[in-house]
Amino acid sequence: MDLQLTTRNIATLLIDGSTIFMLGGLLLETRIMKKRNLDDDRLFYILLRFNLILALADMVTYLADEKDFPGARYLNMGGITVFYMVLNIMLMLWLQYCLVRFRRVKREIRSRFFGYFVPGIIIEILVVINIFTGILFSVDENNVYHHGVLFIPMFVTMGYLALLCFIQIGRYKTHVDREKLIPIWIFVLPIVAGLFVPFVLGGISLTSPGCAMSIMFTHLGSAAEINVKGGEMS
Amino acid sequence: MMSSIMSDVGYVTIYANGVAIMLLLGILVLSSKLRLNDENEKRIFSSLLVIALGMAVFYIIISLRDEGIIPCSHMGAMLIESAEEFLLIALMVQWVIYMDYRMYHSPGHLKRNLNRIIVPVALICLCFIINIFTGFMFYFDENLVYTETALYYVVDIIRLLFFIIPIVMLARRKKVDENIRFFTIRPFFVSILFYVGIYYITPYSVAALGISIGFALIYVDVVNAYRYQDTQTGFFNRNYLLYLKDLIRDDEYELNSAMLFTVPGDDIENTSKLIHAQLPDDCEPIRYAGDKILTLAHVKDRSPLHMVSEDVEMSLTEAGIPVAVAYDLRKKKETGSDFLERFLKKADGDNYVNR
Repeated sequence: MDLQLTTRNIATLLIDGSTIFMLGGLLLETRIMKKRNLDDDRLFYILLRFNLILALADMVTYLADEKDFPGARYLNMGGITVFYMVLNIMLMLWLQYCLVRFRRVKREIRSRFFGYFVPGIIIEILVVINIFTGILFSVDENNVYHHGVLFIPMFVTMGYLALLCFIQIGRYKTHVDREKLIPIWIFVLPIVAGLFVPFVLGGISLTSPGCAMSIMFTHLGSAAEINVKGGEMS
Repeated sequence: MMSSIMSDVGYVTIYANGVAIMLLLGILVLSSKLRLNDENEKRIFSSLLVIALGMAVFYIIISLRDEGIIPCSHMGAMLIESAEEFLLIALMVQWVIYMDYRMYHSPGHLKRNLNRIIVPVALICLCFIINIFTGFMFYFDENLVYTETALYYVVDIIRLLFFIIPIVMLARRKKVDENIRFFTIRPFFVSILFYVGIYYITPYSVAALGISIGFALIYVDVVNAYRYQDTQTGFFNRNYLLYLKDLIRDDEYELNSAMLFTVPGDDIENTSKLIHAQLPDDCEPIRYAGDKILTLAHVKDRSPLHMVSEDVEMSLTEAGIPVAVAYDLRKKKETGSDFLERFLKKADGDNYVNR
């Protein structure tokens, strides 16, 4: 099968490959930590696994996009569908992570379920329906990607979920004097850059490395509240 | 938009190094907020990140120069390229310093190690300074096309050795030193080597991306270590005990027995080494308090506990270190949580030998 690799494809392989390396390294750490019963941050590791799938789907999409080998169109469509489904799930899980890990408000998840998670669930259903209708995105006979009529609302909803995550971190910082906690731009910048830089400059997708960085920094930022004196007795 | 003014190679290089810069900046900010017992280690690690950041920035500058976006004279090109080489040397030296300090935490050992590498480093630096005027390692022709000579690859091999030798030493040291148990090698080693490999066999300058991923994974190691490890003894710390309590309560950790050793708090590092030498592999020692080492175990029988506690007591007594020992087994109908609570309450109250 001739993949007809372009430089854009190579760039995608390098950058998504870097995400896979980073996530793979972090997941290998979890196996080592699991041996010592230290995988207490299970939600984070689930997020990493989804991010890995996101990076792989992104890679498949960019390798298949605008190519004419047999099955390229279906690979492209399949890759994009998996990409958006996984991205949506990740944003909901990340929100849950921020609520549970940072603010430790599990009951708020139940009381605000409609506002927090129902939009994401609707998007998930729409992505499945999109396979048959093309209302969010489609791939034509020439294997070229097009946005559908509901693409912008989907994008805005995902942005809303990401914004909720930043709000949780921001509320945590203002409610408690956590001077150890890192600046909020550390969480915001990678995912925003990942979504908007390719949108403005075109070409390579940075969504998966942006997500990976934001999630990793969230995890490490929450670890900043631990006793960094090594647990020595007070 | 960018592809109309740059070639694809430049485009890819800038994207890859942009991602590296973002990752390194994030790790730099995170690590600056981490308060460690050993601030030297933090400073050394931060320096490593800053140098890597500088390298990524230089790769972008070099890429813009190669694309003709930044106008550059012949001497300017030589100076930029030489500056990047010096940064790479600085990165290698800082890497050796970091690995040595991480393994030994000894300024004396570090000094001895640096004395060994100072001559080759000085020679390499001298070669690059001379190269600015002579071009015997790399040069630019009239069209500012970069070319390397055979001698450049010799220097590259030396730099690669600077990277690999500390890792080999770490792998050997991990087998004997519990303090570096959380330092996992494969994740960062593979990613750095892979991207450096791509840097050498393709026109894409993506080494900084691999290095940034490697350093991010090392930072995760550092956080894990300081989260659950007592920095003085290398044992687990009280955070780990709090975490284990949750697992015990949820029946995910089978706790059947426990031992408590109360020792003087001064010179705890040497005391902990003696205790560690007597403990079996499946015991998990936790520094419960400044002078108390709690060991949780899965054994259900009294005699192994008795033997281990006697071994520890004898070993410390021979070294002239006073020790009080307590141990106990979980009762048949007692839950793990209740047993732990009972044991800690009793052992905290008075240390006694429970035989």
